[in-house]
Amino acid sequence: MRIAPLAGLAILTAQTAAAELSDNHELTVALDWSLTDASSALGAWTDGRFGKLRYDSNGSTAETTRLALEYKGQIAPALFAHAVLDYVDDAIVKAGLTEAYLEWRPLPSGSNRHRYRFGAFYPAFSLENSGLAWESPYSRSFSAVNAWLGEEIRPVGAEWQLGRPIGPEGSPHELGASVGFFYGNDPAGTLLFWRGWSVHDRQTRLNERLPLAPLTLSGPAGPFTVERKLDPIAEIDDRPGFYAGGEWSYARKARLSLAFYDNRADPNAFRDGQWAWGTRFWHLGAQVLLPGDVGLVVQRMRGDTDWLIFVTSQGTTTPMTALATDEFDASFVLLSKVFGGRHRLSLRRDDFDLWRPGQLEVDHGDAATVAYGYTINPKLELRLEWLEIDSTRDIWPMFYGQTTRRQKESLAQIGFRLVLFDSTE
Amino acid sequence: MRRAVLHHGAAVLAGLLAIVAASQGAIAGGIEVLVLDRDGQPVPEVAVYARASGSSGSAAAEAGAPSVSGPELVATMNQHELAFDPHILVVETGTLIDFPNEDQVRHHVYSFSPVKRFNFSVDSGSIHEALRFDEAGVVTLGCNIHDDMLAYIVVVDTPHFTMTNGDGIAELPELAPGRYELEIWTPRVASKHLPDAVVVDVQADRNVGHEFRFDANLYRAHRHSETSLVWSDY
Repeated sequence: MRIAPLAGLAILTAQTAAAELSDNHELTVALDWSLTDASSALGAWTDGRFGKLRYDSNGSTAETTRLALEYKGQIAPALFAHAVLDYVDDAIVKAGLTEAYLEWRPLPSGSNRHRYRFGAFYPAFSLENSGLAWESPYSRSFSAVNAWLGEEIRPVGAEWQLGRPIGPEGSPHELGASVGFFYGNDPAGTLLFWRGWSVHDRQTRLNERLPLAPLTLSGPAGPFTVERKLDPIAEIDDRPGFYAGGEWSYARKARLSLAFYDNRADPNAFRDGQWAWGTRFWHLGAQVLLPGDVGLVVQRMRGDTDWLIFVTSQGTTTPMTALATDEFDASFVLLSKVFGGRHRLSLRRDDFDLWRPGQLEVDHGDAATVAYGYTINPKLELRLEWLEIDSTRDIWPMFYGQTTRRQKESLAQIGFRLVLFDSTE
Repeated sequence: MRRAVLHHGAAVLAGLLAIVAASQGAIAGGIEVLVLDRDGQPVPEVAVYARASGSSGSAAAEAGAPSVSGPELVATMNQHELAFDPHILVVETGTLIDFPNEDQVRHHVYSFSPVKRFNFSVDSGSIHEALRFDEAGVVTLGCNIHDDMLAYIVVVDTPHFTMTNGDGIAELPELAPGRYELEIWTPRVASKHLPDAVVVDVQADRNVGHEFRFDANLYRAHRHSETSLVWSDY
């Protein structure tokens, strides 16, 4: 098994680190290993193909590994450093940071709780990715909405968050607000358009280049193919983007959030092989504990992206170059329940759309996911998962022939998640 | 769940005094309280306390009350599995409360309640030097590192206090006969919806009962963790 030396190394590293750890440093290391049977006629997007799945096992079974390392250090009484390191065995560069930021948590002097983050981090949009290292506690794969956030949305900037109880004292009603200003994320939308929506658990690491399906163009000497790479976190036009949101919550039984994100990118801007895409969206999230202790999580995202079509990867335009605006809309409903304290069953239904109004149905479809987790002990969880994506894309026939406009892709997975080290236990 | 040390101490002391009192023929009475919500369901974890009428100070000043001067009043607010334990702690004014941290991480405990403002760090596995709570009122505790941690210290200027059990019942035994002001407190309603204090006459050798009923819906009780819904504060 490939994981044996890796796990051994991780345990050794963790044990060495443990001796050094004090209250100033918290470290958690978790290993996610699984056997995956994935089938897609389009290949895996992580291989630079058009498929929506992270894997394409070509009818056989693939072994996959993720190692997540989350660090939190206390630099001063109210100042913390966070870093999340991610290792995956199916990336070109196997290890990298997904988040790295400083957090200032001034001591409240009244009901208002102010929090500030500086660095590279996820905005608090996802209600699904509440686990270690932005994993989902419900399933290994993320919904289409959050899979895309994990791919292309990673602000590098500053964020202010406010939380405060509302109503009379003792009231469990809380209001929250957040505002972030950031650089980077200028190509956000590129992968979404070219590949369409996706359902997976792969997170882009800072400064990672993702493969994009090659583009076949016609030239004077006949058709030629352009290999492409995407750096979703790049800054291209030096214009900061922003997001702002509000949240209401009730006693950790219910919450509702609304946010707006705009990378304010100029689609005419180009730098280092990357075009900027002007991407904006509204995001709505709701989480409720239903009767019978059934957890319900809902997110919906709707927005659009402005980009130049028929441009070259050298940064030049062509006579056909024009500004296009593609709209997108995706949502999911997740139900989850824990049985007997150890068995978690989660069901998720995704719906997604991406279109150029009046012209092109870029991507339209849905996905169903069933996940089961069995907590063998607090450190070890057995995981089973099945998902199927059913989608229709106008773009596929251009590359794969007329029969492939509609695709069904599916994945079955069995694996485990093991906490190798946790300094807080 | 751990309770305030004081609570047990007071009960034991009261019990001993009762035996002494019984043998001497001087007979104490008691108050039995039932707390119900708007729908008539029992409400657990409600602070119940009775102040002898006319007394405004603590035990020593209270006419007719057994003297508890001598041993220091002490209580404990634990930090355990990223939660304060207990969630609600009732103490008498003058009590020293210590704050042991049983977790493997540091906590930064704070209060901005007017009754007592403070903040301090407690390293894992250590105890913060006890703080004395001299002023009556409610102190809300938080942790600046773990936003989810929440607890209340209810400081009362009487030695006669307790909490309702799972059946919504609380007993204040071994009270000297006389007139008492009986009050309750919970964080689960706004203070304007807390029932008014009532005057209860305690007679020798018998229990007098009183029922409190809320006229407003109660907020849901604070629970530290959920089994089916996972929250993240980012």
